[in-house]
Amino acid sequence: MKLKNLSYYVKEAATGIWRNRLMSLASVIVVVLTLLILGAFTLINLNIQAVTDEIKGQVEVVAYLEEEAETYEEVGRLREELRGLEGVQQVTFVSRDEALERLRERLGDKAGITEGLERNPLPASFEIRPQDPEHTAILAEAISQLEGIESVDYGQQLVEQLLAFSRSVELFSYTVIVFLGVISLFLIANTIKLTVYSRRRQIGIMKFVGATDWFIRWPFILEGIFLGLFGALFTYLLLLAGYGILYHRASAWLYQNFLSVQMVVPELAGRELLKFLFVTGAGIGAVGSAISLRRFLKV
Amino acid sequence: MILFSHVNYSYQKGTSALKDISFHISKGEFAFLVGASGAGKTSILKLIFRETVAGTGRVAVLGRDLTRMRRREVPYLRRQIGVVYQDFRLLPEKTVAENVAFALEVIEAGAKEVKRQVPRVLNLVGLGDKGERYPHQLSGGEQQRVALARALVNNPPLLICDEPTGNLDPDTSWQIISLLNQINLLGTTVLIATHDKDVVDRMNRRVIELQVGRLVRDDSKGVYSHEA
Repeated sequence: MKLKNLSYYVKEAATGIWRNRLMSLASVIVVVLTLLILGAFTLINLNIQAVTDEIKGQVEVVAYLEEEAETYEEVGRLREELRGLEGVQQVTFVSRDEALERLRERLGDKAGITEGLERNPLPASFEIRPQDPEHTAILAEAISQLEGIESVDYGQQLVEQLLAFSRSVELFSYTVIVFLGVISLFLIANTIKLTVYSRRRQIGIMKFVGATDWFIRWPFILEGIFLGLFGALFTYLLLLAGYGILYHRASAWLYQNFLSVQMVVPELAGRELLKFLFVTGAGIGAVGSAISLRRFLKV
Repeated sequence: MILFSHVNYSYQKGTSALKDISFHISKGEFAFLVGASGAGKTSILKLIFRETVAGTGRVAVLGRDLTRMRRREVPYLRRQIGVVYQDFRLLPEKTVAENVAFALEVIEAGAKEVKRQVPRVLNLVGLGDKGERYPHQLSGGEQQRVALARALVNNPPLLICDEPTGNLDPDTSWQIISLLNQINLLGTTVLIATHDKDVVDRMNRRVIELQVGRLVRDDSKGVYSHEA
C-alpha cells in the first residue's frame, strides 16, 4: 500500500460505511456479539488461569516418615536425598510436635480433645514443593520409593481435577472462539459483498481507466478493518464496564467464601482485553473482506 | 497503433465470435468499425482493451503484444487508452468535474495534475462552465461529453468508442462525432464501433466492416454499407 493513497482509501472506506450505514451497523453489532463472547471467554480464562496458577503454586507433596526414620541422622539424610531429586523446589521438615501443634491450631476451640491423647499419633513428615505442579504425580512416585518414607500424599485428585478442568475449559473456549470467529468472518464478508455490489459501477470505471487491482481492493479491506475495529471498541467498553461491576460485587465475596481465590483486577484484565479484542477485530474485518473480494470482486 | 494478425476468438468452446481477423490502424487514424449487432465489433474492442485474450493470432496495441501481456501490466495499458461507452458510465453522486477527476485520482495522479487537467478537458469538450453540475442535470449529449472528457483527461494516444452515439438523437450524435473528429485532429488515434449509418456516411473516413465474425471490407474512405 502506498502511503500517499492512504487518505483516499480511508475516505472511500468511510464513504462505504456511511452509504451502507444500516448494513454496516448490522455487521458491527454482529462483530460486537462475537467479540463479547470471545471477550467473556478471555476474561473467564484469565481468571481460571490466575486461580490455577495460584492453586498450582500451593500444591505440595507430603511424605510421611516411618517411625524408625525419625532420628536426627535419618532426617538429615532424607532431607539431602529429597533436595537431590529432580524437580524439587523446596523441602520443609515437619516434626511430630509441629504436626500436633498445627492440628490444635486448626481445631481452635475444640483443641481440648487432643489433651486426652497418651502419645502423639501423628507421624513426622516432609513437605515438598515441586517446581512444576504438572509433574507432581511423578515426583510423588519417586519420593515414595525412598527408604524411610512410609507413604506420600499430594492431594492427587484435587491437582489432577484442577488441571483437567483448566485444560477442558481452554479446549472448549478455543472451540467456541473458532466457531464464532467463522460466523463473524462470514457476516463481514457479506457486508463487504454488499458494498462491492453497490459500488459495481464505480469499480467498473476504475478498471477501465486503469486503476491497479490493489488500488481497487484497499478501500474494501480498510472498510472491513474499520468495521472490525468499531466492533472491538464497543465490545471493549461493554466488557470493561461489565467486568468492573462484577469485580466490585463478587471479588470480596469470592475471596472470603470460596477458596482463597482472587479475581484478576479490572485494570490488568482490561489491558489483556484491549490487545486481544483489537487485534482479533481488525483481523476478522480484514480476512472477512478478503474472502468477499476473492469471490465477488473480479478485478 | 493497433495490429490484428489472423486473430481467432470464441466466447466459449464452439461459438466462434471472430474468424481470421487481420487489420492495422496507424497512429493518428480515424476509423469506424461497423456491422450488425453480434458481428463482433465489441469483441474487437475488448481484445484491444485486453478485457479478453485472443484464442489464436496476434493482437498488438501501442507496440505491446497483448497475447503475452501479464495481468498486472493491464492497468498500465489501459491508462494509454481512453474509452467511451454507449451508456456513458458516469457516477451519479459525483459532479461532472469530480467524475473526470476520479479517472485521474484512481491512477494515482497528484492533486496538482488533477487541478490542471480537469478544466482543460472540460473546456475541450465544451463543458467548461458545467463542472459543478451532476450528471442527471445534463442532457444525454452533455453526459457523453463528460464521458469523453474523462477518457481524455490522461492524454491517451488512443481513444476507442463503443457505440458512442447509440443513445443520442441525430443532431447530438453529429456534435459528438464532430468533437471526436476534432480530438483526432489534435493527434489522438480514434476507433469508433458503431452501426450509426448517417454518421459513418457523412464522415466518409476509413470503414472496417464485420459480418458474423469475419472482416469483409476495409475502405480507406468508406460509407456504412455498399448495399444500402
